Amino acid sequence: MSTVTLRDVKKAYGDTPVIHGVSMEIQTGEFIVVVGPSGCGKSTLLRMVAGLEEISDGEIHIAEKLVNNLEPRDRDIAMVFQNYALYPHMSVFDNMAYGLKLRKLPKDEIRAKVEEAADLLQLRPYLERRPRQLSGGQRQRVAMGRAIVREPSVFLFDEPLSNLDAKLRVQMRVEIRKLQRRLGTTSLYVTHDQVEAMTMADRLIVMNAGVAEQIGSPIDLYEHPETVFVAGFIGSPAMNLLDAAAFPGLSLPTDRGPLTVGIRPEHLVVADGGPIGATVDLVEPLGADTIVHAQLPTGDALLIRLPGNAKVTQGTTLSLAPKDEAAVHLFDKDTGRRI
Amino acid sequence: MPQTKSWIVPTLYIFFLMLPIYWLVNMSFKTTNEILGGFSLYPKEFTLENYITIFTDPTWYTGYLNSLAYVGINTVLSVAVALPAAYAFSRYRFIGDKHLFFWLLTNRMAPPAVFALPFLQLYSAVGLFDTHIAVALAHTLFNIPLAVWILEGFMSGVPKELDETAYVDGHPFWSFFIKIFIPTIAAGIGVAAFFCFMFSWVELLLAKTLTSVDAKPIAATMTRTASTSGYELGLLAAAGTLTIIPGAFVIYFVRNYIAKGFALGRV
Repeated sequence: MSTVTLRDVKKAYGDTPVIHGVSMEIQTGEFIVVVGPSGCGKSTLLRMVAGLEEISDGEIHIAEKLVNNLEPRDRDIAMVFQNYALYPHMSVFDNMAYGLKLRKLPKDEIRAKVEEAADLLQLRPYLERRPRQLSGGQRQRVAMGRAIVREPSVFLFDEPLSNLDAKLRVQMRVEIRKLQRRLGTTSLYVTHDQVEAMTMADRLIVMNAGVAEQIGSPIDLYEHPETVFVAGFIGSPAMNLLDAAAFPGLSLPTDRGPLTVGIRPEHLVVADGGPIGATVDLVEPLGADTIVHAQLPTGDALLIRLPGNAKVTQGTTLSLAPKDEAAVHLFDKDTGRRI
Repeated sequence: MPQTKSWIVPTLYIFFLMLPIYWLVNMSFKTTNEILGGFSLYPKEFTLENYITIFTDPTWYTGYLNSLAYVGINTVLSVAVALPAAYAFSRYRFIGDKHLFFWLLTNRMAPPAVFALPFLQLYSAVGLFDTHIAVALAHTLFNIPLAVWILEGFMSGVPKELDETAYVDGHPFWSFFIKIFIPTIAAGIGVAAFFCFMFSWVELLLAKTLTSVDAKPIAATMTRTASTSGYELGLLAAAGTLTIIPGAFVIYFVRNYIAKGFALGRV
């Protein structure tokens, strides 16, 4: 049973609040991704779970045990950092074994555990090397290995892939996900990369300015963003979020006060006599699809993602329509909340 | 072509740099008579007599032992005290930390001579006069700030996540500090120890003021240029040559780390 429960967790530095009360129940074996722009408090939240930052208010339970006042080492967690934080003067083996040695496990048991983890991570040939003799991806694996051998209740990842190049990042994110499924360890993963978040998460927490804007599955967040922030943050390219006045052709409710209308670029289709007219500014052919930068008569920019190699020329005017009714998201302009 | 002549300037530089050292070594193998008798580029009457005297006469070799003793105590003491201090400056934020860090260096802004008198009286009062520990303590006044400054630079180059990983891994603080952190900044400790050693090794005034017989440093012994047998310039040159050796030895071991320290902008 390795659940994690956050109850109205708050953090303030002096009088400045940085986390405004986050509540969440994480089930055993779930992979939760905390995502948000830099400075939104996502790392602080993770560090509070780890015990590296004090909790100003609220409760954190790990494996149904209140851990507010426990030291990091008593919380039964393992953490992987962005810069790996390997012990530079120790071999890969010792790096992975050190946490076990501190727990006074018998030597042959330590060796067995480290070797098992090394096999899992394909680190067997590197056990005697020093961290500086390894590539970035290998170091990342050693950091993972160090976390795995301790068999903690919870893995905490703080942007573990941000120091890797793009190709390796994609590869490692698949590896981490597979590994986590196999081990079935509850995981909390912080990233600023929404693609990483969408592809890895069982559930996502989107954070903005210390507030958990929305918690849900990736598809849930994509299809039903609760706030303008989530709508704009999840999905690539980002959703078009414009004043209702920019879409005079759409029939929108008029009794709800000022509205923000959101339509994803991929949910716009070319339709003769469609309600939205836009002039093409720039065409980006990506092969699988085509991104069209267009301008509405009001001067607002509109992104459109057309499937395949769409034949669109610069300067022409496109007639567009939302794909279906669910493609149009309406938000209260003042509160930013979904209507 | 300028390229083909490019060796001239460095060669001249090294020549002028090495000249006084060569002359010192040259003199150390001469008899005093030859030194006073005229100008010679190399020893005409080669003699090891000067060195033999130094290694056999207790007034000479105890000078070296005394110097090594207080320099050793000073280096160990300075680094041991500076390590936790530098850790605090590098890892924690506390009221006035930046000011304190800067003002640490003010001790180095005054020439050591100004402290000679207060130290002499203080140490005499507590009965530390003419002991190795007196000189070692006096030198820590200058060396601890320097060591803190150097070590803080190296420590700040170690990501804080290393500490945090260790706590999550289950290290108690001191176990982490001694087994993980100190080996990680070993280069910095080497550099700090080197600078403490060098300052203490070449500092003459305080060392001379605070000692009379039992802890008299070699540099003080060397100020005794004349004796009953007249000027002993050969002996003095030999003693001088020997004082260079420990420094050269230490520099040899930390030369790469010093380069690293310069790269960090802290040396």
